[in-house]
Amino acid sequence: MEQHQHRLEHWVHWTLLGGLLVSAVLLVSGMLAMLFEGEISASPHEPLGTLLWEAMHFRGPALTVLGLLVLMITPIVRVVVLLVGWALDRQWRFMLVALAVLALLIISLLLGVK
Amino acid sequence: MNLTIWHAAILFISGAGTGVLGAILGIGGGVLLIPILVIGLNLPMHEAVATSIISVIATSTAVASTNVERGTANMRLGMTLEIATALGAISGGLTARLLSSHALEGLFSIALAPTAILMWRGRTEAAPRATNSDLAATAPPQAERNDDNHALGALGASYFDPALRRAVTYRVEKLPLGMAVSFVAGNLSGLLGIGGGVFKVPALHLLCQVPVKAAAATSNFMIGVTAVASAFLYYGNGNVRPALTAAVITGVLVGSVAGSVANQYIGGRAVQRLFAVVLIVVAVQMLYRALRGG
Repeated sequence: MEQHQHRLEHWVHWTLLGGLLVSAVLLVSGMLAMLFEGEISASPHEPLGTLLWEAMHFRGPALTVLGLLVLMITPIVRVVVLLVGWALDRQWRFMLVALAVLALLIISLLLGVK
Repeated sequence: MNLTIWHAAILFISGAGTGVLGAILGIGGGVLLIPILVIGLNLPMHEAVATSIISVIATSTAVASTNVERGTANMRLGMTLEIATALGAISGGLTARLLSSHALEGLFSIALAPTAILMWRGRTEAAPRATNSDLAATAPPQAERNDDNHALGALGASYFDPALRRAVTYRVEKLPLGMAVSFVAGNLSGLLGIGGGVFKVPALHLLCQVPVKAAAATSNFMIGVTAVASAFLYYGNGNVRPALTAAVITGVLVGSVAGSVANQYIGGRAVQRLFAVVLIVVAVQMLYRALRGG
């Protein structure tokens, strides 16, 4: 059980660190790109496809918005990682707790989109 | 609205200052960042709260990744309490949509007063309720891991404390009280953009008998999910300004690293008390602004 716990802690550590690093790289690149473009402004409501296309072309606003989205999604991915980890360890009680938290986050996302 | 390079620089420096103080005082920094954005940069309260919430996700994620690897953050307890914090954050975020900027500023100034008092008093650490040896003594002589788990309960945990040079093991007591405080903290986060760690840590320690280090790490672990629960509401409402938020977050991250280094050389207690006084001054200013209506 303890070995499983350490494995799960390791997964969560890398999920959080990975999300933060990707987000930081996107945010810093976005800010630098906007400084070079001479216009520090970004709209938060571009469709995801447009954002990805523009980010691939190193457009500052798109990189910045993507960075924020990655940052906001990181804690959700952490909940999913724990949900899967506890399911694999047959810790059904905590798997259900993680499922409840995930459901609340999805409700919040839907309320936000609405 | 476009930002000038000077705006971006000021936002970066504000974020860095918040990150430094946050790392020294062990707080998310929302209580400092929001007044800077509202009073200093004249940002509408809802946008300041949204910026604070997203920057809190960044600091929480950075600190939690370390605490989880060290084993000080209790993930099972944190996830259980996140049900309450997420519910509180969603209701707080929805309530904020109905309130005017000045009403939020007034509520923020009221929330600062108990924050300042708790900050002034500092973290009072009671002796850990139980250690490995205490729990072993209460268990039958042939107690194996299953019995230890029984003594700890489903939410109890163990971590190694380098300062004490031994493992600290604890049971979690009075979970419903912990859930109630977590709901209020989540509500404050969703409504006012503050992490609520200053309320959660003493509550987890004094009510639920969680050692301070584990309480602080678990509280921080929960803040990311709590903040995200209301961040989507602010994002959908158009209160998030990406360029501005990005400038603040990059500052906060740089400041957090600098603060962690400075933390080794600065007496946290004096800074804590100075910060408590600053919070009272800020609370009076925010209240005046709210009552004046602009």
